[in-house]
Amino acid sequence: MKNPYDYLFNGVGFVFIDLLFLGKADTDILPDFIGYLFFAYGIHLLPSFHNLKRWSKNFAIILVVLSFFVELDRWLGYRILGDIGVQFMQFLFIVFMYVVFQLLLHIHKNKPLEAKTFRTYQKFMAFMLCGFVIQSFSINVNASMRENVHFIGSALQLLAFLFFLFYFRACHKYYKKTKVHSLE
Amino acid sequence: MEERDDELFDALKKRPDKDPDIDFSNQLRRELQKSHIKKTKWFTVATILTIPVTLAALLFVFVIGAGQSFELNNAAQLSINQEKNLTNILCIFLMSTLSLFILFVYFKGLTRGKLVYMTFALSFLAWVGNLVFAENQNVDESIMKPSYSESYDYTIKQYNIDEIQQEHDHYFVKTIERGKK
Repeated sequence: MKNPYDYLFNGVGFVFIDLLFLGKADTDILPDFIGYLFFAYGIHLLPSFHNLKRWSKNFAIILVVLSFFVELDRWLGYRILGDIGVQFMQFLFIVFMYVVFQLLLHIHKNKPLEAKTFRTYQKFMAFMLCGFVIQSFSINVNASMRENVHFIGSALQLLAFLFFLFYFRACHKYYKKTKVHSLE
Repeated sequence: MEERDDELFDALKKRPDKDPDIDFSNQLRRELQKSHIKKTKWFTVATILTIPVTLAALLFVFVIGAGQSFELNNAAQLSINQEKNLTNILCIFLMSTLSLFILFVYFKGLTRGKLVYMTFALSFLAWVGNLVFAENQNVDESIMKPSYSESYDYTIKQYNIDEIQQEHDHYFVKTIERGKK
């Protein structure tokens, strides 16, 4: 039995981290669409029959297609969509994470990790959305402050990523423990 | 005495609230309960915070969507520089109110409902509004332009660039001359 949380975390990692090939701009070694594929498989492995599972899986598959085109646009250097495509994908990612957290909250209801899931949901969603809002406002603020404002937004999103990392560690341990119990 | 007792008894019998009208009191109780619920519903911190924020965001989007700049020049006799400051302050104000609203909604512990969907809608609208506003303002400079720092000497850099350009010109002149020969 594979651990679905591993796949979910791989997905978040692929979407968040942009490693550039040889330092060239617009060459992402960890492309987002592979991350969304990981998400789709991880959601498939989650133990639930709720409608949210079906919806979030379909959402992940739609995002695979969309992000593939955005990445292709960046790789080939056409830049038809430019930064707008990337930012729009970021917004869709936040909405997608909201659906995923709804599913996780449903799965962990009345289980030991319920409180942890809820707290992670609160912080993750709040920081991601705040980061998005701050970054979108950073175009229009004064040029001398622009970089700093943009940096604050990015830092908030990094913080959200770290919260998800801690949550993933807890889930990983919990899943291992339940697996051992079920084998006994 | 008996007459008096009878009179009293009759008066008591004639009292309208002798035996309570059950239907009426039920209705009254229901109305009271309803009004109580309404009162608690309308005056919460959530509504007090959300209504101005939504109004501000919608106004901002509509004003920019109509292609108008904020025409406060005549009213306050602001110079161009001050207008820039005004937009800057407005940007930061909207940004902070929206961020605070999002923080408030999520740290209140809501998982679904109007307010949660409103955060998504408002942040999306803010993004679109910013893009449209930047497009209208014709921002030429790139987003990643380095900010001004006092330790960085701009004059030397300018001098270097001039020198390099002169060298280039010299080179081009030479190659053109060679081509002529």
